[in-house]
Amino acid sequence: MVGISAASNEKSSNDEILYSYEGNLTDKNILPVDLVSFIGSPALFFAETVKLNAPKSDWKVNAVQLYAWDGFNGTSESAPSERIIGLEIRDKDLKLLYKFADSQLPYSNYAHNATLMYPLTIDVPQIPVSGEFYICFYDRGAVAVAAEPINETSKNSFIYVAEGNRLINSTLPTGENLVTPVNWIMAVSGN
Amino acid sequence: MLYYLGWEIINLFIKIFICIIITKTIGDHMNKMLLAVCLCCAALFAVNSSAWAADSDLTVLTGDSTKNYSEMNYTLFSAVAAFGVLDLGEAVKFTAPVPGWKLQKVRILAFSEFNETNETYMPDRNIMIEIRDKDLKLLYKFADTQNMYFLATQPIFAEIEIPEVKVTGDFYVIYYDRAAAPIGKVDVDEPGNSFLFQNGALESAKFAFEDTNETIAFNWMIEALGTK
Repeated sequence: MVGISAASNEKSSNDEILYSYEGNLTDKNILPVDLVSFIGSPALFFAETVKLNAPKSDWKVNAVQLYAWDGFNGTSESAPSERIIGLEIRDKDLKLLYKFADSQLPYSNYAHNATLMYPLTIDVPQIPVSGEFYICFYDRGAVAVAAEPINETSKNSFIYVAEGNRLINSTLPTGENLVTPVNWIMAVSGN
Repeated sequence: MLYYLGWEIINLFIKIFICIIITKTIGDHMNKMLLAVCLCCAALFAVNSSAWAADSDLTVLTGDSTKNYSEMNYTLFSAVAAFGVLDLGEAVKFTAPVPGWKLQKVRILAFSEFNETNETYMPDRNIMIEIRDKDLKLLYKFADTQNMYFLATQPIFAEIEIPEVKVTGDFYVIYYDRAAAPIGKVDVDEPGNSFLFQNGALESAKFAFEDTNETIAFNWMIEALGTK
């Protein structure tokens, strides 16, 4: 079980922040999830995805934040090797608006000498969105993403499947014939 | 159309194969849920079918060659191996069918080798693509690991989805192999729409041999896909 760091580097200017969750994170049971470990290698092409609603037309996304853990637990043996993570922003029809890939190391907890899940923030060029839009994060096994187990299938958390450009429910296999629905913990800032 | 569907079926099997070989080689990230993997592969199979139907709406611009690539006698080229530089790109000039044509994907034949014998492959490294207009003004730029697209036992034509880029008239798709995934090239007698791009300048994709005064030109295996 990996806890969640109290650290936060969410935007504090005039940006508006949209959250994929309600309530206080410290009150939640948060699990680190990397889809490759849960689902297998096809998940290299799957993304943890949340649906958000732009407060107004042409609202401009300027950063995406999630909580993630790269495996570093304070020992030199657990220092992560470099992998590549991916981020996409898609409109309500899943049309690609923005795509970004980079090493996980500059963003994840190891770079901050943190041993818990830590805010992973990716600044993006201002991407205009209107109405519903999607944030898709490909962990590719490089980091585990904070997820909140819930009782019923989430209405705004999904798994995006690159092949076929489609969404499936954000449920994780947790045993034979058992799945657990989850909400991905993400926040998006914009103005 | 048959060629297109045929290619997409090949593409699906290549991607499933990539999944399988990555499964074999990154065991530290795998758990034992093989059933889930199988179900996901099955889901991928179903999902792909619908994707192809959608893709059939896309127009494919083939650059220099209209042949089926499987009929071509291509070889692989790396700018790093040939010139020892990382910032040299393989470029193809296309012409948009209509003004404001919406470029949505590029398709590149390249290779990040998976060695079946010892089940090894190259570590993740970055490849990069750029889209530039007729004046070489940068319209789009993206880098990602080569293994997400080109990891296979033989060169594959992989699609890279991009945010819609509107192009008018001539435009360029530029691929930087960075020795991570060498690109397919076809030798031709005369230079066509293929170029080498470096420091903002284009040169025809050809080699001149001083000793024999012979010149060999080549076409990069890059395609552009989009809609009106």
